[in-house]
Amino acid sequence: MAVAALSSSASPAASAAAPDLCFHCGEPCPPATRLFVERDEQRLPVCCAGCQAVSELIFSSGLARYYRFREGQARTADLDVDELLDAWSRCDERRALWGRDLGGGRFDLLLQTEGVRCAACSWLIRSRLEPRDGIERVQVDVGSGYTRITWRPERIRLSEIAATLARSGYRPHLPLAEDEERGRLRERRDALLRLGVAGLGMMQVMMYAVGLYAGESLGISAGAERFLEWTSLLVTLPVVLYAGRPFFEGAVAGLQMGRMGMDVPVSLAIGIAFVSSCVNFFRGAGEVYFDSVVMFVFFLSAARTVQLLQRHRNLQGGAALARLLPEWAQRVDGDRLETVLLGDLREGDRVRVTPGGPFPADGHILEGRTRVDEALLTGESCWLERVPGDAVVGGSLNRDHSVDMVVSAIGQDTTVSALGRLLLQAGGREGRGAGLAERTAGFFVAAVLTIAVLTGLAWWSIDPTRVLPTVLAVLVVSCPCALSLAFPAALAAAGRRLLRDGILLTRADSLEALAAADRAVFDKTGTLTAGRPELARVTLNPDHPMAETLGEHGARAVAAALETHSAHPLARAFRGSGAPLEAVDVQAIEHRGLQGRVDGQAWRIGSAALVCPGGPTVDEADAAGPVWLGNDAGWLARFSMRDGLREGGGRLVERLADRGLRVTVASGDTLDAVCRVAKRLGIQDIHAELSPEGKMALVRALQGQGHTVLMVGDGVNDGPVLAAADVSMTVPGATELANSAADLILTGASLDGVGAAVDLARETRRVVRQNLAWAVAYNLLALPLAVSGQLAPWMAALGMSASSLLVVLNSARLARGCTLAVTAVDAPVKDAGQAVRA
Amino acid sequence: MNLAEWLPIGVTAFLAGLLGGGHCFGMCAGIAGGLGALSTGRGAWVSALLFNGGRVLSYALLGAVFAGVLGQAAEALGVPGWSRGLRAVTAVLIAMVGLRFTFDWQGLARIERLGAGLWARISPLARRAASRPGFFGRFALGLTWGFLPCGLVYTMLLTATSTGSAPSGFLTMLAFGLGTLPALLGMTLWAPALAGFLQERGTRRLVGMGLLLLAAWTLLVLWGLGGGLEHAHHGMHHG
Repeated sequence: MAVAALSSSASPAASAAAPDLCFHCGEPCPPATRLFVERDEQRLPVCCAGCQAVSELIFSSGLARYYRFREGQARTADLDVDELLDAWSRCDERRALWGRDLGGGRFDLLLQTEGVRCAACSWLIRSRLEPRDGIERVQVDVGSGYTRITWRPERIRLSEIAATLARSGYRPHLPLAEDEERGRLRERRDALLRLGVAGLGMMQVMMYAVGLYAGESLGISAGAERFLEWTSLLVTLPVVLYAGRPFFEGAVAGLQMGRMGMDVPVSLAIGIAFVSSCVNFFRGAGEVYFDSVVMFVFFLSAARTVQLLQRHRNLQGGAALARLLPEWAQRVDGDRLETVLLGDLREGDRVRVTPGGPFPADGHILEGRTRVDEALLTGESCWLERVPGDAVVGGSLNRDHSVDMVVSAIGQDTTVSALGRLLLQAGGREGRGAGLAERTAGFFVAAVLTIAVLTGLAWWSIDPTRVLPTVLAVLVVSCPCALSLAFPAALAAAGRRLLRDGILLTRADSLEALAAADRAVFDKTGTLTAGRPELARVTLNPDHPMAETLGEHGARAVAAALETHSAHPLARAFRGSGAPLEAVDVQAIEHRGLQGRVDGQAWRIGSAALVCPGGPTVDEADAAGPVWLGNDAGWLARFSMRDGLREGGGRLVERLADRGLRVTVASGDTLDAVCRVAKRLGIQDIHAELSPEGKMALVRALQGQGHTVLMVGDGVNDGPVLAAADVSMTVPGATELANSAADLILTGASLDGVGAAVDLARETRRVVRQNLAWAVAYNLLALPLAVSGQLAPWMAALGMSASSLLVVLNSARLARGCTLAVTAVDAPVKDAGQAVRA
Repeated sequence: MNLAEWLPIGVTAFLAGLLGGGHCFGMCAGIAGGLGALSTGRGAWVSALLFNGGRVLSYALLGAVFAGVLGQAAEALGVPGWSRGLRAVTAVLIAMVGLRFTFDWQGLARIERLGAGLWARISPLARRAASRPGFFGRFALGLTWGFLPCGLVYTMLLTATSTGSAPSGFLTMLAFGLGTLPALLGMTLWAPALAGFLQERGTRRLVGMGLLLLAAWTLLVLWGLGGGLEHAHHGMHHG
């Protein structure tokens, strides 16, 4: 649990502005109390006897390290407040960053605060910010880490707000998609407020109800009984009208659209119970059901709120993305460095990124080499080497050395923004499965209403006084909440789990098709292969004088030294070859290669024309053409290239075959090239030299044979076929267009995610079936009891909620389960590691 | 004291724990997890559970002992009008808790000083428990926690005492302890959001006013006005 930044109380700015902060709990000390804890000759202020006692206890038990531990948890160590203050002070005069104008000089600022973990954090932020002049109201949403501040810019500066947050251990960020976030925050607050009202109401009414029941047996005075009933009525009123409003609204909206949602019986139950209780109350005869009404509203609100929070949690990936990009960048202007706001960065700007810092935008490395950490973006856990010419993604972390980059995409065009948009879309889309559940529920509702009416009629003839409780029990107990939760709850949990594994689920219902898939069609280029050449073979020229001394290994080292200076795609294939050598006097020769000196020896590397005019001709169809190395003595080595495979392909083919999915490769490439790749991966079913229409025809043909087809591609030439397949998945590097059409998007470089997604989809299908089975079984069991008058309305409310809760909890298992680790047992160790990381 | 009589007090205690206040977060939250992770390096969750279990148990035992002793003493002395007086005291204490939540009234903080002497005796035990690694140490530390100088705990303890019997004292403090759990353990599925809601001023005021009403009602009944329906009506409408 993250609490205070202890260093903050020592900083001069803080102590000048505010009273002493309690050393232990971080709350301001009341001015009158003079309590201290002695530590290392120092007198540390504490706010109350309790904190004093705890703090003394901690010191005297030799656990002073607890405070350092706590501080470390709050990650204050990483925060350089002065630097932050300096950077944020650049925003002070920018109205656009002040938040929404509320009029009267008040602004509504939304900040993403990193490090918020629990209610204590929320409390700490509020207790630090709210006493400050110029700040009117602070709300912290613990779930998403957003802090909403109503403030007056003429009284306090934006940078002071930011610094106050930072001093408390929370790094502030500007939000990524402000409007959506605001909407969700409001939705969540509303839901919690309603739930709170219903919950508190329930406690009070139940308290009175027990009083009433007990009174019946013990003999309560008529006046006291009347008073308790009055109180119940008054407390129930806001519960029904405020907390229960969404149900009535939902029912009305549904009926207007000609649909019978589950809100209809819910509203009927609440309405009938409340109105009849009121009538009986004023009549002074008959039963009152205020306790059942509040209980019902509370439980239903609880189920809805849990569902809402689950759905929002899926979107928090979007919120987390906002933290990846820094607010500022170091722009290189001639030989000057200036700190500029991210929003002021333009395409083509040269930016310096220091070790440990994030890349502010998409672009290419200009100067220097380093390793970058893309774990937060793609789930790729290894740090990737990047040299001049390589692309870097905004939001990834620079790990090793200071590098300069040129910006190629900013703002909404960056990969991070695109991911964020996709995530938001995914959260907003209603799945087909959910729609189906809704329709089933509609049918169900009609049945429930019919049964309720029949029950009412039956009891009317048996015992008219029992019509009301029985009908209420039927309505409540058979409320198809569990049924309509069965799909969405499971899909939400699965989506969250996939996201952690580096897979974006853009259409939740596609998991159904994925679970059913029995054919997997892969594109080759860019999908099975990484679109990156790798060294296939080295051929030495035995006639060259240096062939003996250098050997194959030495030739590769020389080539690697020279190619370090090249930005050509082929140059990457030499990385990490042999012992590092240093090349000097390297010059690029337009379109043909490089020349330079390695160990005092002059070398040329590049095309055959450059290295050995008149040498041996190309005798082999190399995808990327061979690279030649030589000097004035002739050619030394020829490096054959091939398209490198994407990681995890072999494992994936095995895993899919294991799951009963037959793997097909469909490529536009030559049969020869496709066969080579397919052979390496163990794929037997090969279709080569296909046009985009050909690929589509293949998929259609498979579908015609009754197969459910999963298509995996990168979008180049296979956009239509991705759309035609039952379920589609794209790999990293896929086109934006393909991503927006795909059902699932892999963000990690390895293909393991495909297998993981298939497994999770099947697991999800199982959980959904369990949920449905449970919902149906519950109703079959409970309905007869309710119809026969065995259940009191409050028992029905309890049963209904327990049933819904079970469905939600069963689904939540998907988010934490360990299907990936289990299925990776037979895979190599590295694969297992990848899976366990989930 | 029967269930119907106890229930308002129990609910008050639960609500008091639930809304306990931000101060408790800063003071107590994270201690168990933090110390647990420090000494064992793992099992912060188990450690927190044990610590809080010990804490709640110590509250409940204190409630039982105090209320039991008082009840026995009164019975032995045979004080006239005893149960009426006791109920009045309970009502006043509930009103004080209500005031605390409605107006952020800090008057209860004074009671803390009463406990300083008690804590001085307990603290060597607490120190031993704190420096003891392992799960038993955490549980023992939790047991000593009930004695910390804390206005809210002491007020609730007085309330529990005023119920005048060991079982009801135990239950009252148990309800209070359970009420504090969501906030202090609060990292579960949606407890963080709910805990945030509980810290809202509006919520606290609403509950505070509810408690004030409850106290007023108890006093009204005690003075024999509860039978008069009309008085009660007016009370409610003003609320």
